[in-house]
Amino acid sequence: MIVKKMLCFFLGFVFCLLSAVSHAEQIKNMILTGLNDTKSTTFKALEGDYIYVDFWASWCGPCKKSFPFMVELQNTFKNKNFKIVAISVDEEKSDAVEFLDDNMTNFEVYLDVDGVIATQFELPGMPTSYLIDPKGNIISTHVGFHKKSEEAILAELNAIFNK
Amino acid sequence: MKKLLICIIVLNLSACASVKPWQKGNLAKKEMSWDPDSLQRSMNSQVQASKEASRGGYGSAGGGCGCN
Repeated sequence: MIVKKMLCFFLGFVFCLLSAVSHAEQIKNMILTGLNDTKSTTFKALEGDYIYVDFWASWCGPCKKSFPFMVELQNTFKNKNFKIVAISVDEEKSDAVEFLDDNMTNFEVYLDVDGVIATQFELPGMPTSYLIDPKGNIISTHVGFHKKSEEAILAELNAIFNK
Repeated sequence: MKKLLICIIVLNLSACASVKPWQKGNLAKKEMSWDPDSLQRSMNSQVQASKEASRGGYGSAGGGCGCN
């Protein structure tokens, strides 16, 4: 009886582990579509660098505030193995393009008009940013954008690159 | 009658859907707010305060002197 219970527990554990692994693999292989449709990539292709993934939308006020910070961040760590990937969740591509006309960028911007990537990440709020290590593991998550987020993100990156 | 009422409530509840954070684009549109025009809102409240001799009820306390 005990053996049966332990076996059930073990199988459940293995199942959970496998589903978590497959979910991570699914995310890594998701195609990120660029603004001009021809430029696309995957998270797997971006592995090898620290990636700051930011989910934003043109209708989100704090997202707009985060753009100058991301530009500064990219400039600060431009000589490190660091990349910023901004993913727009706008349902209309034109809204994202209009937003980008008014807000300068020096990093890659991709589109997620159907919210497929956002669904996989299960975004808890807007904006949400993730810091991903070179092996593809999420090492930190920031929901919303305010002064404290800036300080925390900078501290994390300084800790990584100024070891 | 009670059963029918319960059925209606249950059916209505099943129609509720949660909106995910990234799906709130339409809700964030200006026309979705109660008062899309902030200037018009402040003008209306000014007129109301003068005509009705009362103000407040918009989130902060106010007097009723009607002197503005």
